[in-house]
Amino acid sequence: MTRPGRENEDKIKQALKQAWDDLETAYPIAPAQPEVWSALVRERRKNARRKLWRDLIVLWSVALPVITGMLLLGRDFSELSVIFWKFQALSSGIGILVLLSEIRKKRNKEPTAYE
Amino acid sequence: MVRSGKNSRAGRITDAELANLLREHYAFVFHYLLKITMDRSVAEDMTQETMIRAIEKIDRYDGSSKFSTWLITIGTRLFLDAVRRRKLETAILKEEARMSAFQWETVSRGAEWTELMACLEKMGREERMPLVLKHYYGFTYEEIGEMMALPAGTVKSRIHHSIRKIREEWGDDDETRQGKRG
Repeated sequence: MTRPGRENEDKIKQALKQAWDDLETAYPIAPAQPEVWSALVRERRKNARRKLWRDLIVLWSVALPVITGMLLLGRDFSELSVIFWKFQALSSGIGILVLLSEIRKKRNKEPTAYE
Repeated sequence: MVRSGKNSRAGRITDAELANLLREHYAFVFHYLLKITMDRSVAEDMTQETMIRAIEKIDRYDGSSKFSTWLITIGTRLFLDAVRRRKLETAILKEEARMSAFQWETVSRGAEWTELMACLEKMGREERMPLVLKHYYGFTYEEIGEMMALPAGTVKSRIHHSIRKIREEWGDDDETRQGKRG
């Protein structure tokens, strides 16, 4: 690049920086009070934890019947106790319920500004 | 810019610490997104979304970069996602139809609407982003590339192209202005 070209580019960069500085000055912003932030963080983290637990329950209620089913493949089903079948039905039932509630929640969720 | 030494993997950031960090960086993130979007309400919405995403993903922050850089990366990716989904685009087009609401608002806040600002506003948002990151925040091409999921070479050529565009539009006007004065 020639010297005048470089000088011109430096001038542009300086002007850009000035324009962006002016923009920051024109749009001052004050963050909310610390209590608001604490409440937001607490609530979001609680929600995240709850979601993790829900995902874990869904995972296990789907995985458990599949795993035990595979392990017992080929065995005589009449040998299995009633308690086992009750447990299988219960875990599947919980899984379906959690799954349905998740789907319903997603449908009811309000669209964000970008959706 | 603050480099937080708190490594969330090694030692978990408490709710109060995180709340403080986010509060301290709120204006920083907002001003970054304002320069990118050139739209106050979109910048505000995206800043809030960035903060929420940061709370959800705080366990992934390992302290290897400044906290502000990590937040800028989140904001950049959220913005690019929104643009790529073309949903934000529609919202911004509505804004443009209203005779540059941003220009009006900036002027009404007592700031000057320069030709350079008009030139920046005309620029595509994906062009403006690397320019701001490089020439205002001083990130390297590699860092910008990582944030935008682009090769460093592409970032470099985009920035070069943007500067050339500004030189052509604004530079010519500048010469005209100086000619008139002289």
